[in-house]
Amino acid sequence: MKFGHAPRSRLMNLDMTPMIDIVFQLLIFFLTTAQMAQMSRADLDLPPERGEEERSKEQAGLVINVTADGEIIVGDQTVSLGELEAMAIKRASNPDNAASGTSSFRPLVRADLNAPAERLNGVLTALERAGVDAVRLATNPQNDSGSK
Amino acid sequence: MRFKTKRDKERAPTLNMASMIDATFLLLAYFIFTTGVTARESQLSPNITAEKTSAGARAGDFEPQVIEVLKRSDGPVYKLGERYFTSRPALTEALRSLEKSAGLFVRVSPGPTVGFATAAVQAGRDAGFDQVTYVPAK
Repeated sequence: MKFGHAPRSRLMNLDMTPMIDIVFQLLIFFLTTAQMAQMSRADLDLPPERGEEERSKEQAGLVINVTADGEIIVGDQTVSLGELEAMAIKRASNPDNAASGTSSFRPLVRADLNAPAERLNGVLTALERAGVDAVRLATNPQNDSGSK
Repeated sequence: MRFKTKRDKERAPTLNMASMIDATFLLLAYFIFTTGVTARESQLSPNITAEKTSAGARAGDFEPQVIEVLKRSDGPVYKLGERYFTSRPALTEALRSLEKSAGLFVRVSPGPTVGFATAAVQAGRDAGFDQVTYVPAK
């Protein structure tokens, strides 16, 4: 006994355009962000401190890396203290930062645990001369040494 | 002018989505695994101020609560007033008894490493100071 009509086509016709749009957007997003993260953050042994959890969601802005041998790296290039100061002045005078004063501009300093403090002092002095009044020091909360 | 007939609609092309789904999941898996490797970071947010040595006055003369991070022959130490500390918990405990509203200054000499300087800032935060200022010593 036969009921109804014979099935015509069981394949669904899906509009693939939105899916392809999303896939490409995700791909571009991941490619660009992964590249940026790789460029701005050097592989460093950060100080093992808990830090301040409530302020850690802030945007990166200017990221300054200080390696164990005292090299200062911004982005993918090594810079001198003079060049760093010029960079900070330029960033601080950016309309986005200048609108609310330089106090809103807080560069992220990623200094290696074993780097000489003299080098970090040099970086912070250069930033202070550029009009920066606060910074963020990156730490590694996974190896918190609070009990030492 | 030709209108689509019912038969034309039935002949609509169909795509095999299997290969595209394969590629999408492969990309997704790749990004999940590679982004997961990045270590989580936290931050300390000290103010910074230059050391002022004009008119014969030292920075410490006007700042009531200063931790000095120094390097002695036996290693780095934290100096608070006339007391010296080599351990973090002892320093944090000593800082807890101080007045918080005046803020805390961490004066770091060129000798020690960044690890000791950061530890002093963290000790100030742990002791309850909202305002911690890093003073790079010359």
